[in-house]
Amino acid sequence: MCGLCLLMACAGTQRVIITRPSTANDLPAPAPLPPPRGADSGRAGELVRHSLVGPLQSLFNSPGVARRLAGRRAEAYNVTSADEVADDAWFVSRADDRIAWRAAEATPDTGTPWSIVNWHRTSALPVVTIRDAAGREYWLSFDAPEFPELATTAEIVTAQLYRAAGYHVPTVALLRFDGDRQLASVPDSLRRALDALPRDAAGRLRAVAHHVTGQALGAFTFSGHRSDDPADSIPHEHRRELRGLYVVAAWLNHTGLFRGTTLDVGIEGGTPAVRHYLLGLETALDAEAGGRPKRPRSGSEATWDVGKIGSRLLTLGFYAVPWERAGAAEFDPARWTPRFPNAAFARRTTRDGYWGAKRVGGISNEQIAAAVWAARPTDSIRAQALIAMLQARRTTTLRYWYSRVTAFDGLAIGRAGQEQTLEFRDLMVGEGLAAAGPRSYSIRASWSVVTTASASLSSVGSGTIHLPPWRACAENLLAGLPTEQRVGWIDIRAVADLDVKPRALRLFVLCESGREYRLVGWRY
Amino acid sequence: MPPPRVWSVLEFPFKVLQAPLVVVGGLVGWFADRAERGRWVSTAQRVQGSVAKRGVRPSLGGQGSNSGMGPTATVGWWPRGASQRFALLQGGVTQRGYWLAQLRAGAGAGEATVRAEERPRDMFFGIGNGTREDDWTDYRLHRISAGARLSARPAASVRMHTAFEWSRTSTSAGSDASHPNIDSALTAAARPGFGITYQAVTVSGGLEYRAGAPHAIERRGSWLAAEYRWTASHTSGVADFGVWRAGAGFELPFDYHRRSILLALSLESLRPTSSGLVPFYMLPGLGGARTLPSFRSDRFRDRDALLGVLEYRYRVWSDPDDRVWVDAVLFTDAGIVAPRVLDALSTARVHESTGLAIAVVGHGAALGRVGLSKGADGWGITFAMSRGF
Repeated sequence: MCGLCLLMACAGTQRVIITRPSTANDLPAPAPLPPPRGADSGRAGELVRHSLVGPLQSLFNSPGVARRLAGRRAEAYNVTSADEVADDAWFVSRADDRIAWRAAEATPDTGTPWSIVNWHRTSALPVVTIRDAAGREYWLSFDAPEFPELATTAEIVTAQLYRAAGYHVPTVALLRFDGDRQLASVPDSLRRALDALPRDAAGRLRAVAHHVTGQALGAFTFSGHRSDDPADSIPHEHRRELRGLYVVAAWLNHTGLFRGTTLDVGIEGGTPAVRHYLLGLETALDAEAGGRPKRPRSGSEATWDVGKIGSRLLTLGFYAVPWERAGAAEFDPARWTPRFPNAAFARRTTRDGYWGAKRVGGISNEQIAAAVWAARPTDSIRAQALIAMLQARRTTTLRYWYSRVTAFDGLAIGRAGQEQTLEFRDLMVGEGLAAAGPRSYSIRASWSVVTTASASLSSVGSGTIHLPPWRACAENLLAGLPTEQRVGWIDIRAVADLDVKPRALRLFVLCESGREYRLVGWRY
Repeated sequence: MPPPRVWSVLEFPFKVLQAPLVVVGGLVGWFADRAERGRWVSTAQRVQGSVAKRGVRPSLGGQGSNSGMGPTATVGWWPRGASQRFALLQGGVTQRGYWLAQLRAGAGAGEATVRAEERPRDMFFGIGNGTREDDWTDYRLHRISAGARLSARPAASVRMHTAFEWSRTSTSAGSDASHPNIDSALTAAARPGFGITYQAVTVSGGLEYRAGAPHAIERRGSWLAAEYRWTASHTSGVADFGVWRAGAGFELPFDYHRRSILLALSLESLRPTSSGLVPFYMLPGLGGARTLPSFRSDRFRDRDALLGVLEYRYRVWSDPDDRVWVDAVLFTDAGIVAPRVLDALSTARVHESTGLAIAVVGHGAALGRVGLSKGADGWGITFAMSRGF
């Protein structure tokens, strides 16, 4: 039985499924918004689900067990024929809008005092919900007295970078305001809390105003799906954008990302829809909950890691992870660990990681610097250090994930004389991670043996290679056959002096009646 | 300043954790105790018999000597404000039918206490270093006491205290029918103080130096402590006596404070200051969750009790904020009791208890320690919890 399962698992990974990008026709029929869920921090639930329930469930999932035994993971369900993700309620590809973000409603109206809707403490710091004269509600977060600008800078910078990467986050705006003038009818308890907060030389408070348009519907989980949302049909742990979020979150060191720092928002007007937001941005970069700096273990070990605990226990304490002895671990894009277990992150594959890395790679160093300066830091040295840290982590991230695949972008099949060619941009070269100039690639097609082709790459990584001729197609021998029998594949693998052999890029081509084949999809 | 509130369990996260553990521990201990005494259902007896054949005997320590675990409840005003005033009413019941009720009130350095407790099933193995595990009797102890305590911290790591207490203790036969009655099993000389109502006044004073984190579990960190307690009897025929308690512990951390070795030595010595007998339940004892954990509580009693501890600790888990962590511990306890322990060091049999434990530790509040150990009496499973306040 196990052997059969293993066979099924291995066989399953070889199947080629070409999906079409979502189109308007694929959208579900309009349905009312699901009812809001109650507040749930979800910490204990996540730990139990991931540490106990998840492993028990997976024990009874024979194909899953077989896949793990074979060292394979199931790929994400919602990828397009270009191994991408269609824009949806989780992710929007903002190619033309990477960093520009000047929503009119981002900043509350400061012309008149705000009324206080409610307030509470999160990790000892006050969070105040206000309503401005225009009737819009914002929640304000602050810095810890001992660490001014730490948490607010993290929120401003991370929100912009997440948004640039394509994820939904609240609109944020940096405020400096006089609490006595701007806040009306402040209760004594809140006044005491505000009195303890840091202020600038003019006595103003520094805060981040968050705004989300729509109706809060509660948190989303990183596994399963929301049964009362008809559009939410794909299990979240099998969504490419949530698996790939691991790479972006690792880059931003967003250790506090888990169920309790997410939000579903109902958007009314037109077709009701649920949009999925990421919160808890104050735990990103070098900040931790409560406005404190991160501890050495942040990003290296989860709150509860059974494997590490067991290793320490059984080795009488001789086993130690790097942060325990070195004080802080080097950033490792593949081993970064959020504070809470995450089912989607745990199921990420190399293809998911590469997809996430492209989101990171889509943000330039200039955009990173702009995001940091948007937080208006008073300490320019610290700001420069933050910029340098983000840029260095970006490079490390890209180097790791781009080297795991044949990182081609901008794919197009052309023709040079009688031969068909592939035009591409090698992202390793484009990002400066490999030298421009001649570069070799190993090519194998479903109709040919392995050959080697070389291309001379420009400084941005652009190049062209010749593809193996498909004789049956060229001689029109496939004419009249059904479409699925006219599909072939071409594997292209970079021949690089790397520690890890990169995955081959598989192109799927369709033999046309014109005796040429055209590109219909690919996967990394 | 916010108005004082009645304490609720949710205000203290550690206690939230404690409560279910105590209840579960109490249930387990109660079950084991009932089974051990043959008063439980046959299934429990079979389980207990099966376990006993393998030499494993649960021994749960908690509220006091030989008391076992059980739920306790505390209501009142916990220390608050600059003066740290508090008033607490505490009550508890353990699986062995022990109960206590205690009213504590104080402010800052001072505290007054009124306490009543009853322990209907305390076990007495006899006096001396060579008693046998099987030869025990049980007795009932009832005590009421009232006292006051003053403490001061001349430096952050130094604490001084002085205390005064009045107590009235009475003992009678225990309720276990399956073991010989203490009256018939032992001569009067072998069970001094049994059956009388003993009334005494105690004054004490002590000094404690503790380096490192202020852990509440005694066996943690480096420390040096000395205390003298003098008890004047108000009962004829019972001696006045003084008790010295002195000890030192040294913990050597290494490997970035992830691991440490601890060496500790403590001596408790009772010396009469007038003629008369010394009630056996006032004698220093060894055994239980905190000393020689593979032996039952107060398994050995005599006028002197010497204990040495060697431990290797290593951290297996800590919460991300380093407020609470879990240590694994390999330990060996060695101890003897004797009328004069220094005279007996070369001749008396040293009782050893070796095992491993998991300790949950937090800054300012240790939560508990579960241990499995092996000694001459067999295996012991211990579960010790420090008092939250």
